[in-house]
Amino acid sequence: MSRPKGVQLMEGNHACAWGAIDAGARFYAGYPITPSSEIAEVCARELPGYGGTYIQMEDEIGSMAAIVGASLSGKKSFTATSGPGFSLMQENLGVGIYQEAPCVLVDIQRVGPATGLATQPAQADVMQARWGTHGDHPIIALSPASVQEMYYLTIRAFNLAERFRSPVILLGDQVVGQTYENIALPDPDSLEIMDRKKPIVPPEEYLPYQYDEEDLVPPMAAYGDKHILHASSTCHCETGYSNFKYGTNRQLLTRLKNKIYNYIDEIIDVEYFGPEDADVTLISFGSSSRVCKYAVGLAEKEGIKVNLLRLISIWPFPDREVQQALARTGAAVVAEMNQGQLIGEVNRVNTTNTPVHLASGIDGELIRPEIIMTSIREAVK
Amino acid sequence: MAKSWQIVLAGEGGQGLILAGRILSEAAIMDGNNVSLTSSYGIAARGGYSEAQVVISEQEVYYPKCASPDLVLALTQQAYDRYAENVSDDCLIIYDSKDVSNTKGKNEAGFDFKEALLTLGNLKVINSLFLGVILKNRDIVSRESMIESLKKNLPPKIQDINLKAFSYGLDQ
Repeated sequence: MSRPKGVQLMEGNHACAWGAIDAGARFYAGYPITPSSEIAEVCARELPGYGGTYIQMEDEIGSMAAIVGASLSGKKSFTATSGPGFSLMQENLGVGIYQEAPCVLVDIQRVGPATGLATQPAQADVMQARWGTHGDHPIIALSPASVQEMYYLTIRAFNLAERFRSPVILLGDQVVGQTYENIALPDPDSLEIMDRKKPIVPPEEYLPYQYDEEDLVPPMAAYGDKHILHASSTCHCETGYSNFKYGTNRQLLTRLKNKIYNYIDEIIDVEYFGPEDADVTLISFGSSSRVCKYAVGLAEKEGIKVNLLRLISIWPFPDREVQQALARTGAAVVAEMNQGQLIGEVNRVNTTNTPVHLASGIDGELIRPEIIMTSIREAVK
Repeated sequence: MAKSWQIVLAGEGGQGLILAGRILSEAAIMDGNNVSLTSSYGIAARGGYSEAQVVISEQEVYYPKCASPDLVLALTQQAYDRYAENVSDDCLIIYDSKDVSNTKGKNEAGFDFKEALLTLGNLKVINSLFLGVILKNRDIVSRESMIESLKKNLPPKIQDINLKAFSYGLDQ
């Protein structure tokens, strides 16, 4: 099958795979799991035709290790999984963060814990995406809400990974993964694609973790280049070799954090929907945010003015945007398909003490509009 | 208010419901609409409960499921029972008159799909047949787009019999 063109009906997972291919991904390692398997399926079929590689691994631990290795070898690499697989990937996700290996991890969330309600939708990996791997670390996570966004945010995930030399998580769910919608695929040549910085110093002067002051990101050689790359999962200095001297870890962790948080405006992405002035502001992300848009119309019929702040990037958390939204409106409802994960972050930045209510969908299906409406009515009481 | 449709195609595995949902969705896109297609099916590939939900709108589709269907196709009793009590009075239910009994009779149309298939001489074309019956009752998509979508989604050697089944449904 050749690359689809123009307007057509497409599944979210397929859109994600094509987004990856258009972004330049040429290495996929994974262990198929519903509701993410179609991403593996498209990659298995298509990547070889693009000169890329698909490997079905023995498990998700190996999958994450393989994409980190491929990244260090110069490829744009990715994997896709769901619930149980996401848990297994956490250890090597940390390796990717520490070694600064740009790669993309797609998590098509389903109900957990454990096997849960296989394979129904949930958004309960929000905190796992943030803190799932051990240790102190930053992470970038994006949350698509439609098939069209599965395509574009996958490309953006690769671009951010390359720009920041960091793993990026695409946090989808069963609804956006397995729904079919009309999508307009652009000409791949019209896309803005970012590639990692390569070293410009002579090979003998190259230190793989010596960073540029302007963005705190070290230029990246690939295994096999004349510039020798050494990457370690242990605390390391500019050479890439282990270094346990007092101060090295502080320096490294601070830089890893600052290289992302000092440039947060390049990452933060939100959408404002509905009237500017409202009685209630909904805050949501991913597939739940679509139901929020639907609820804006339902509330209007009941005479309640509601607007929505949709988080397209969820990590780093958009503190400023959420804070401003809370300050502008007298009440807020956070809609998410878990028992309250994002709401903790919302409350963390709630300096105006705006009452914040939770609309929680944990029934193994897309959150029902009625659940959000009940919270909206409570909020205006 | 922009025009929109919420269509449920429900029955059992093997009846081509999800393919029909795809054919209907692609026809709606050809007409210039936005579409959301979701499906659910049991563990058994054949025989278990299966359904496709199609939302068609001139505007962006926010809620991708059928919260308030405009039309339900029910090919089995289970499918009928799942929706009959929960849909609004405006919703048309088209049911298989051989397989579904105890109907409530309001805004419903029974159709003997089995007999029509025997007349057509092919039991496998049920989805093209019911797409014809649906379009006969409600102008959800243009007939031209539906025919184009049928051709696009079906292998050449079975196109003729499926187009015949579609026309047969449309003529009832």
